Amino acid sequence: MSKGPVIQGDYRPVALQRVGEAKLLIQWSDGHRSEYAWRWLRENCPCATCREHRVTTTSAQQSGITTAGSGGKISLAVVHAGEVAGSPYQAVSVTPVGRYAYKIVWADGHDTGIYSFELLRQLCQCSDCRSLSAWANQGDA
Amino acid sequence: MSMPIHGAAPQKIVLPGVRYTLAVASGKGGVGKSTVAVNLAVALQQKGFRVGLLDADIYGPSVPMMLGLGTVDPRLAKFPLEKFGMKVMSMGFLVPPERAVIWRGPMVHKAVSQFLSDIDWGELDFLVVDLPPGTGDAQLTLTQSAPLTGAIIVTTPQDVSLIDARKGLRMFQEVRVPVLGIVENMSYFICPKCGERYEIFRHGGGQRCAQELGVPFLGAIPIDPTVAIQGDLGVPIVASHPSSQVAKVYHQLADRVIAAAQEIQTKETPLPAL
Repeated sequence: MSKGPVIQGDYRPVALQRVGEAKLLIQWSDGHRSEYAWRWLRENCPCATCREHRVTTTSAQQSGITTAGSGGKISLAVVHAGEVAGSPYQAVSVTPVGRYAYKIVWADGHDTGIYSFELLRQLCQCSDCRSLSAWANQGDA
Repeated sequence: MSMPIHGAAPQKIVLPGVRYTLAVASGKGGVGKSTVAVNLAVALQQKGFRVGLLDADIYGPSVPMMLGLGTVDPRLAKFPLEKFGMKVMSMGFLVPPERAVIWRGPMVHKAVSQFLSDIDWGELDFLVVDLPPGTGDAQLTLTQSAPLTGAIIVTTPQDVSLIDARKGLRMFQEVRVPVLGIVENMSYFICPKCGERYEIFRHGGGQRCAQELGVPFLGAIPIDPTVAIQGDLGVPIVASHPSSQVAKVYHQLADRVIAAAQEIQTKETPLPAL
C-alpha cells in the first residue's frame, strides 16, 4: 500500500496572534500570513443568523427600506443583555472546531459562527490578497 | 466553493484515555458498515489492543444484536457494557428493538455527545465508532467535537453504493478528517463446493473509487453466509471462526488500519488557539 491517509487541503494555521485591539494574524503552514480586522471577521460571520441578517439588510437597502417596521419587511432582532454590554467587534477567544475551522467567541456573547480554513483564506485582508481581490473585481467589471 | 456547514460548534470532547478514535462510515445504508465495524473491532482486540465500540447509529442500532447484547435497565447497568473483551455502548441498550427512536437532529447530537463524554471509556487503544449512513447530525457532531483520528469508508462494489460512498468521503475531506481508506464489503463469493470466485455485485468498484479520490484501498471483504448467521447469533465471525478466510481479511484490514492510524498520529500537531 503506497498511499498514506489523505487529509484535505495543504494548509492549516500554525500560529494565531492578536495585534493590538483591532487585528488578528494567522500564520499558515504554506507560508502565507493572513491579517484580519476583527470587525471584518464579525461582519462576515458565517452563522445562519448573520447570513440571514446580511441578506435581509441587502435586500432592504436595495428596495429602499432602511428602517425597521416599514411594511413588515425587516424583522426586529431580539437583543440579549450580553450584546448590549459587550462589543460585537471584540473577540474573547478563537478556538479550533474539529480539524477544519475556528469558532470565535465575541464580547457580546455571539459564538455561533464557524470559520472554516477556506473561508478564513477567502477573507484574508493582507496586501497580496487585497490586490488579488481588486484585480479580480476589475475583471468582473 | 464548498457548501457551508451550518450549526453551532459543539463543545470539544476530550477523551484523554483513548489513543485512536476511528469512524466507520458509509454514504449508503445496507452496505454492512456495522458488520465491518464490529468485526474490525474484534480483530483489533484479538491483536491485543484495548478496544471500545461506540454504536452512533441512534435510529437503527445493530451492534447490540451483533454482539449478543440486548436492552438493559439503565438504572442498574454500568456503561459501557463489556463483550468479547471490548467496551461497548449503543442506543440499543436503552431502547427495546421494537421501539422506534423518533428524534430531531439536536437530540441525536446530544445522545452522541453523551455517549462520548459521559461514558467512562477508560484507557483504550482504539475507539471504533459505527456511524449511521449518510452525512447528517451524528457525523457532524463527531467531526466537530470528537478527537477523530480518521475515517474508514465502507462500500459495496456496485455504482449505486459508490455514488454515496463518494459523498461520505467528501464530507470527511471537507472537515479535514483524514480518510484512512475505502473497504469494499460483499466484494466476491467463493463457492464452498467448487472454489470458484463469483463477483456478484460486479468487481473493483471500491478500488476504482479509492484511486479516483486519491485515498488508500484497505481491502475487499468476501460474501460469506456465515457472516450474516454469526451476526444474528450475536457472535461476530472473527470471534466465532477466527481461522476463516473472512476473519483473515479482517485481520489484514486491522493491520492496515493500525498502520494508517499510527501514521496520522505521528504527523498530527494540535491547532493553535487564542
